[in-house]
Amino acid sequence: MERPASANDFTIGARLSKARVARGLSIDEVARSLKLSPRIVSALEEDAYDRLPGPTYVRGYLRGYALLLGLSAQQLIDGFNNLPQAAQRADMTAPAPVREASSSDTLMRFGTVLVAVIVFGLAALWWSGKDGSTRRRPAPVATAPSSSETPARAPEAAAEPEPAPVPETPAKAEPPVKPAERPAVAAAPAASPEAVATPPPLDPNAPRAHLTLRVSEDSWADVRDAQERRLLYETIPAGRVVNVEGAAPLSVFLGNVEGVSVEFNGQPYDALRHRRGLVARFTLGSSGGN
Amino acid sequence: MFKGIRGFFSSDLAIDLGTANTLIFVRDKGIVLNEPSVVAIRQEHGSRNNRSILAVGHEAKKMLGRTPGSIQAIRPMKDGVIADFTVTGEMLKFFIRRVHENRLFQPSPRIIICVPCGSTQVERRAIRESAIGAGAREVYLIEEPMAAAIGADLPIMDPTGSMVLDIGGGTSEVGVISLGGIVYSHSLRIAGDKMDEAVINYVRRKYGLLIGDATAEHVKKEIGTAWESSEVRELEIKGRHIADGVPRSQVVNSQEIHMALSECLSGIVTAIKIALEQTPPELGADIAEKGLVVTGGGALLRDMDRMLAEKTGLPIIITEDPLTCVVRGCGRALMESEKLSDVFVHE
Repeated sequence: MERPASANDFTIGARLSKARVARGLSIDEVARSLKLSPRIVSALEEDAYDRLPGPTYVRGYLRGYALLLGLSAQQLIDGFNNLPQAAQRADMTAPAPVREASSSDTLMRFGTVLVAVIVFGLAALWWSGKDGSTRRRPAPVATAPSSSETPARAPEAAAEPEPAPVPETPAKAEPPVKPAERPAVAAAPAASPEAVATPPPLDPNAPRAHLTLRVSEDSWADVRDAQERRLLYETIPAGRVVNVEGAAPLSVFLGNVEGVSVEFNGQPYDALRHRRGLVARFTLGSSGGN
Repeated sequence: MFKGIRGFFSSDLAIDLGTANTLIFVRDKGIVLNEPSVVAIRQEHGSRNNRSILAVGHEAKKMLGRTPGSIQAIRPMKDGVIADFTVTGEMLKFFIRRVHENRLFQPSPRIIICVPCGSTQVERRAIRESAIGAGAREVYLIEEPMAAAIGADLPIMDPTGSMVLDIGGGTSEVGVISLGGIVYSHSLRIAGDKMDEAVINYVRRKYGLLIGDATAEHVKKEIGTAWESSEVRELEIKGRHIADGVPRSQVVNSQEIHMALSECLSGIVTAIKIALEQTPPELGADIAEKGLVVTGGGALLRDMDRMLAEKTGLPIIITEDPLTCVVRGCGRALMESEKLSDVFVHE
């Protein structure tokens, strides 16, 4: 057990260990007479101060151990005091209560009120904007001139409330006709899209574009033609196929782009590359629109 | 009225207002005063109630038991609490001025004072009032076991049990601390003074010799021991013989003093055992692993650690410089009062 002398023998632990061996004591015996656990005694001998409770305790243990072995306690303690571990003091920071999100915090209250105000403000803005747009533009019903629904879903589509901004719409010949036509679509699903179609394009030179949306998951769609008129503006339930025709370029805004496959002028079009999160916004039929 | 302004010119203080000694710690300076809590008062004859302070601290302690009729040397603190309110106030005022020596203004510091954990509301209020009477701007109280634990640099804020025993002049305090709070504390009025008394009684009974407090304290410090089989020492003491009425000298040895002290010591051991019984088992396990930290003047009694270790089965750690441990703890509480605000006593 006796190890040859080395630089290591100058450490406190080595001196203790050497003196203990010289006295023929085992760690357990020392631990018993110091009332310490053998773990602490071996930590002392290995200079493993991170396994010991703290400088105050270590000094106490060293003093007791030194007295037991007949070493100079003060020398050992001085030796320990020179170590960096001896200088560290217990942290007196009280355990902080986890109360950052308490509802009684002034900041939290203020924040909540602020958020509520912003939300209400935005909601108000949205409502006023919506009213304005419905008033300014022709009614959505009127602006879906060439849309035709698949027969299975038609009644539902007709049931969608598109109430009477119709009287307000500017005096074109067509609008008054619309309300009558819509039920007709519902009642006679076989009715050709052409029957519903109204010829709104004002610019005869503008190329006509044909857009087909095959919807596999419920999705919101907003399609506008070159004059920014709404050709389609509604939630389309899954399983329906919607055809839209209008003056190009068509600006398309899809709510759930993954659930819609797009065909433009009979060609499949990859809308997913315009995807941002769930939605996609893109223009079809313009100069570089494709 | 001008306390706020005067406070600007005053240093914050931490005071260990002990039964035996008063220690003062000044922010950024350390311990600047360590004097016995003794006041000598001259009672002037001509006018009524005209008492003047003759001496405070070391000077006054020399007069204890040696005063003529016109002078009273008194210890205004008894059993860790104020026994004489006005004199304590005067003493505090004297000490506070002493540490603010070369100041133009009357000092008005913020003060942290430690109180025994067993002290009553009335006793705490008395200490607070006397500090305010001495000119303090604000007074914070801290319980002694907590101050001792902070002074001993124990990890009081950690979720681990730390047990501390402070054997002072008037009271011994045992406390178990975890997470910045006192889990268990007990204050017993067995400490240095009781030991002196025990020595006086023993010498009187055994040798029929009357000795004073100062001699008894000297005997205790020189040859007193807590462990029966420690090395035997002898000391010659002088006192008045009861039967003859004349001074006599007598040699006493440490074993006799140990016998004299044994009752006090067993009282302290009992208090530790009760504390261990009352401590929740997890904290008890921590304490058994790390040990009991002993502070205060009583820790300096020879072989105190050995006796406590044998009787309680715990590892015993006597802190470095146990006499100043409590005031150092108060001082640290003063320096880090933002962090440690929870440890102050709130009434």
